[in-house]
Amino acid sequence: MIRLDQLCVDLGKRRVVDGLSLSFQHRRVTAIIGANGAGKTSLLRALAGLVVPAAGNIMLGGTPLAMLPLTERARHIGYLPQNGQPAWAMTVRELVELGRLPHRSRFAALSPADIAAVDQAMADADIAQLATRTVDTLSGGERARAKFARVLAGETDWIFADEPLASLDPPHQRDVLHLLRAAADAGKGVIVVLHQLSAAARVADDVLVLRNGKCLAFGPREEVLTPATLHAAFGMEMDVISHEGRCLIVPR
Amino acid sequence: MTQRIALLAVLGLALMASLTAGKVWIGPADWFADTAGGWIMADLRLPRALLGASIGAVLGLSGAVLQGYLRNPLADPTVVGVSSSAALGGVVAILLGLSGVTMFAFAMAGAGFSVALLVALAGRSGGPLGFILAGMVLATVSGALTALLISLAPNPFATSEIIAWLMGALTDRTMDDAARALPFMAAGGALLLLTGRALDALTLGEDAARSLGINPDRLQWLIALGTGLAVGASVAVTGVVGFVGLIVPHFVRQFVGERPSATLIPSALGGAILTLVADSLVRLIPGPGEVRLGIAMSAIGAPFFFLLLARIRGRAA
Repeated sequence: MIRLDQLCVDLGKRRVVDGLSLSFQHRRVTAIIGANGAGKTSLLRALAGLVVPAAGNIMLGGTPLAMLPLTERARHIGYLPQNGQPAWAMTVRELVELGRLPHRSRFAALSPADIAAVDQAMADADIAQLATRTVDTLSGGERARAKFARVLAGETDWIFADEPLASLDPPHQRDVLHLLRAAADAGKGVIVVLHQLSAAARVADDVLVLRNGKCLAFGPREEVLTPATLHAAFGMEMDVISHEGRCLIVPR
Repeated sequence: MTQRIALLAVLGLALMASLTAGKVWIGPADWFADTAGGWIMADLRLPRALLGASIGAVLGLSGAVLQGYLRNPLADPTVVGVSSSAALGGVVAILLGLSGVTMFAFAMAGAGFSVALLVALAGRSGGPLGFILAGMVLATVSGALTALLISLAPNPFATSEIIAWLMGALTDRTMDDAARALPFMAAGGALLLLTGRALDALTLGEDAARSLGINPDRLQWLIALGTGLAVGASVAVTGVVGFVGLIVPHFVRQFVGERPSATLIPSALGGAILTLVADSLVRLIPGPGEVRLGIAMSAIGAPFFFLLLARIRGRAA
């Protein structure tokens, strides 16, 4: 479990996350939604230990996140940032192997356990056939799955993903949502920032709605994704429609 | 592994070429003999070959590290101001009439000063962008101060000496020079070799690298200190030799791929080979004196780099 206690995060002189107290659970996908500037990415970066909170605490299990050494933290939390286009054209397998860095000593070669984890991650993300391709030759969907496999290879308890559907067409969005769901079903805690509200309704167990850095609503998706909450979060009318067992959110 | 063995074999040939190149032919039988040939070999060619290989290695290695860290294929030690700061220290020493160990100390002090300023200006967690901006400021200021000192030189002889030194050369270097520079280059090179996995992680961006357990402050210190020691010592003993750190990593990526850690040792070996070959060629050009190594490196490096770029662009099209 990850527990936030009066968490505040500042960006420059502006408070972008303001007094959040809530907890996230394993085996669940939690979607963070909200308008631009609501504090979604700042919250996710704080949860990943990438920014120091201005106030409050983040507890990972029973340990304050700030007390964990960097490598230990990396063994618990896999983080998939926005726009993580690799700077160099390494092969897909080399990219996925980066997920094992927290498990390896400085000059050690990949151990059998590392190789098994990389193989498994590539199989789960369905990219085994791309192993020797360089990342600059991949399509957007292939690259998204390769980046996700890198996180899976870390065998972390938690996966944080920041807008993993950005720039993907509907079939590739579906593939990434399947990967998020499968990770949670395998026992991980998944926290994902999403702008696609119907995707959030489809994949999430819980939804956190942020407005101006504060928690507007948090709980099971059926309770949170209501026209009234969405109107309060985004300032526009939206219809929440049930269709063949699925929830669709349509702006008016 | 195959590439490294091939590079080691070529390095062995380049070392042999460096030991045999010169106005005087010295057969292998005389290399260790107590003859004029043996003295030339022991006192001139051996230190020159050792320094050429070492300087090329640290320039190639630091170029690969800086390109990986800055995620920019145009980076090399001159971009971050270490070379020009060490050169400024050397120029001050020449103007003060110093040479030998004191001149070496002045150049190293220039490099050390640049490392301190680089880390201070880049700031805590300033990241690669802060690092390169700080480096460019340092390079510009050092270059301007060097030009000012040249213009203030007391006589044409001093001006000529400074300009010749700045062009870089291995001529007449001794075992004392090698003994002074090699420990610094070895220490700097060792620090730079520690950066491989962090550079690999940084390929994914700063946030992803930190989430993989990489400490960005430690990485910045390792690179600044490693480059300062290794490149500072190379400039202190030969002057400024350009292009090696820029072109060699590009060349080795054609064979070992683009993963930064995979380019480090091959870039060191490639830099050693290129410097030894260029330094051998300058000795074979007929004329009253030698062409300076820095000039030869630019003459070889620029067309070579142009062809490499044309080939890469042709492949991408």
